[in-house]
Amino acid sequence: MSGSLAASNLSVRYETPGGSVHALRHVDIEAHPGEVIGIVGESGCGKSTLVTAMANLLPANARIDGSISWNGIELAKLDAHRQRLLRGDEIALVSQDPMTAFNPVLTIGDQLVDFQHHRKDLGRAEKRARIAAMLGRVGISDAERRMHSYPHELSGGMRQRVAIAAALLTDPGLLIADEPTTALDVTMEAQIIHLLRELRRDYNGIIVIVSHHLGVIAELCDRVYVMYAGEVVESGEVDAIFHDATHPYTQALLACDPARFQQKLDRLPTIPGMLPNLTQPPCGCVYAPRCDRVLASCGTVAPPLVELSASHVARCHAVSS
Amino acid sequence: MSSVADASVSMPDRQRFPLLRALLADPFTCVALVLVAGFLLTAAFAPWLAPYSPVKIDVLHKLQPPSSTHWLGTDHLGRDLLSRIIYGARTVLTIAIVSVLIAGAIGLLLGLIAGYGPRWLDAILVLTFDSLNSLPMIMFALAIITVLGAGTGTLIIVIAATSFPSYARLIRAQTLALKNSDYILAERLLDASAARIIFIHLLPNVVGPLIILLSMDIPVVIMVEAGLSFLGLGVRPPTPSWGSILYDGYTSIRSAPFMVIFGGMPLVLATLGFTFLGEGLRDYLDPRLQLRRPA
Amino acid sequence: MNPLLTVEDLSVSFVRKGLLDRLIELEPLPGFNIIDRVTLSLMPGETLGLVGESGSGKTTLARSILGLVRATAGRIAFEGKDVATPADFRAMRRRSAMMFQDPIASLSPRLRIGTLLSEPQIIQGVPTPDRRAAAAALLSLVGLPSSFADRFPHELSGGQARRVGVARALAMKPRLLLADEPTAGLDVSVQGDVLNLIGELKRQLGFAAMIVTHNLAMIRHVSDRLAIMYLGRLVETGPTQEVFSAPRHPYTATLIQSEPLPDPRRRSHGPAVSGEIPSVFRRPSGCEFHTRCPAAQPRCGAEAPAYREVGAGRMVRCHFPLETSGQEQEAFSRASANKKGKTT
Repeated sequence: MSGSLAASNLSVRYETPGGSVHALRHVDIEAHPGEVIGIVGESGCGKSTLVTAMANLLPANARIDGSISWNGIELAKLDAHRQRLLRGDEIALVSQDPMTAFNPVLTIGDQLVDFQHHRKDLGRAEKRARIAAMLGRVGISDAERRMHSYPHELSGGMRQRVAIAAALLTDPGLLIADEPTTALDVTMEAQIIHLLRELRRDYNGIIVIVSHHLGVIAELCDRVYVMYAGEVVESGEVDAIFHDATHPYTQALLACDPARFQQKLDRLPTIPGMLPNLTQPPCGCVYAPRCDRVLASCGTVAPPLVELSASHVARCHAVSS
Repeated sequence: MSSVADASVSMPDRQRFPLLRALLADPFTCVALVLVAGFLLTAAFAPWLAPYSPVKIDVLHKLQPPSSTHWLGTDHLGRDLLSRIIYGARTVLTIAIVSVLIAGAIGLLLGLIAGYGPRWLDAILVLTFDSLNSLPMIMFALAIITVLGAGTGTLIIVIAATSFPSYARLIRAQTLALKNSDYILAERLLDASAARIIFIHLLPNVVGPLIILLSMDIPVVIMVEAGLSFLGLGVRPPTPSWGSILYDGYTSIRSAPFMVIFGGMPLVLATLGFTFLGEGLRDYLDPRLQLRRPA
Repeated sequence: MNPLLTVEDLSVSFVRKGLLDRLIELEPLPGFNIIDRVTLSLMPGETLGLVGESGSGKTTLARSILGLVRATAGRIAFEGKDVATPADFRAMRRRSAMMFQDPIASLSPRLRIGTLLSEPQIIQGVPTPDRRAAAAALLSLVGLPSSFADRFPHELSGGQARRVGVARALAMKPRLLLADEPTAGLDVSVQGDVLNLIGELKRQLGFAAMIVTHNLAMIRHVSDRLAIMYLGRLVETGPTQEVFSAPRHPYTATLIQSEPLPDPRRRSHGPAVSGEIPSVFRRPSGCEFHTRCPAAQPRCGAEAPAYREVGAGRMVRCHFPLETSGQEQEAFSRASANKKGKTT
């Protein structure tokens, strides 16, 4: 099953006793089958809200404005039953710590059989055969034996492989990987990155990689959305973002990553200042208080969406002038 | 110096009396607070509130139904029932609160020592808790009463001695869980004394669940007192207590059923009051529920 | 100059005993060495990066140096004096400090920051006439306003809690700072802040630091020397720049190669190493890395390599250390790329 994912002017706010938290504001995202898109940003940038909105798992106190659609179907307007169907069938989520995604008292095999409950056409043996094939595909060599393991018997990297296998079993059109390597060691991280890249070859759905790790995004994605304080401040082809970043925040974020510098630095670059309070988002640019290229209009007028090339846009006054 | 973290970040507004506010926000807890406060005030001001002496016998007017002179009627010795219930509150609450506080204090101290102290001490203490727990309360009460004689003091001793082990076990489990937490390790690195770690760093973090348990155990103790007094093992007549009122009412249940009803009422209300108060406290103090609380 | 801290052949072992073994206690069972004969030294004012993946024992090593975990063998010397008895460790801890991985969890939750900052003085009986002023001075040292003294730990952000952790660690003017993953859980923009702060204070106050981390990109910029651990053993030590430019142990090389680069034009060609990190309870025979090593030879599985010097200040535990020339490096990465083509 394949289709396109599109969010346009999507805003999400959480109603809390302390006021509304505007977690996402007018976000535009587009992804087509076969693409790997990356969503990058630091804590508090709204990437987890965006993921939960895509997977239709927003909590009850969330209010959605604008649209987010999958294959032309407006996700927010679906009833609970159809949402569940869609999640089980077409949208799959791989989370940061797969340990919490598995039931600790059932074997991996039993759980993966249950994941296919919507495939009424398959018998138990067929389902187990599919699992074995899928585990092999994610690089687990002794699949038959692993199916009899319990989640705690697997290492972190192995669990992440199983989680990816589980997500792919339903043959989803949209695979969302939320910080898929954050809990792993570097050597395991490299293996999972490699695995995800291999999977692309014969998977024609959309993969969404959400991460704060610039290296992971650069390794895996075709197109990147850079988020800050609930807004997409810049988006474009991965090469344009990493080599031709125009938004001051993207530039600052890239400059902060110590992995970019081969020579020893005496001082590591930082971004001074703090995130704005999202209960009262600033009326101008969200990044203005920390920006080093701030103009008079930045504090009062919301910055325009500047088209730098067909696919490269930035939301910034300084870029437009 | 590197950039100063934003000093203008507003301090989270610290409201005054956050506990009271949170408790009053929940209707059940609100009612519970009113009930508990009512009982405490009744007990404190019993001599001013009671229309008659609780022990003045007036056999001419025994087993009177409620009337304008005796609002709740009189018992089989003609004593004013309302006055006995009011003074009974004093007896019952004193016993319940004092014994629970004593048991809580002993349990807290021993639990902290067992949890943080050396293993051999822990083993000895846990053995002690378990053996005390295994004694049937009534048997234990009978044994103590034979030695010390029935009375308020004896009741307090019996209740405190039988209930502190469960508090100690709770505190010990909490302490064990915190013993290897980072901040305790950090304190050990600073060479903080064991006493300092126990009383300054562990105690405030383990005491929350104990307070909840104590509050929810007060009604249990009230019932135990009533039960023991009903059996004649509690406070000695003529001292009024809710249990003895029930006992008296039970003996004349056919001629004056109102005695059991009126005698049982405060027991039910106090139980509900303290239980709901405990639940309210748990909602407030349980860290897992803190997210639900307005910041 | 004499080293501030020397660690010689330090081992920490956990004996896994069943109930029966404990009852009979025939013979001491062979222990599992979480830390196995680690030898290293730290000069005054130096920064050592202790690098390893999870399960390498780096945190245990740091904790055993300060006596929080009891070493089963080996020798520790601090400022030229042997540290053996609990009293020695106490004396050493007065001159050193540790920062824990989780900055908020290492602050006692019911105390205010001001109290937490004056605790070291209170505990060590240092007369402090004005504790509030002393706390405010520490807060300003780490770039926080003095109003933070009235806050509780849970009211701080990760970066602020880190700063408080630094302030608390430096309250007693230590000679040695052990920092366990000082940037864990921090955003890149804040991570630099904390590291710059530590670096600045190091220059100002002149203490030595040991930074325990798995973050190679970060440690490269803040350490003078590196020590790489694998399964409780040091596999390589050397000056940071040299180790990065010419790693001698294949494990070090794979670690450096595994780090994803923030550059889509230089994507990796596949993972530098396959397989899982073994458990210390099932330590591979011979060289512990031979099960995953792209350059392993038959000898590696049979015979444990010695930890030997391969150049000025460079130590490596490998039978076939990588050559320093660029070509060899290239050959290694090509070999490893080919190898995993087969395994995955």
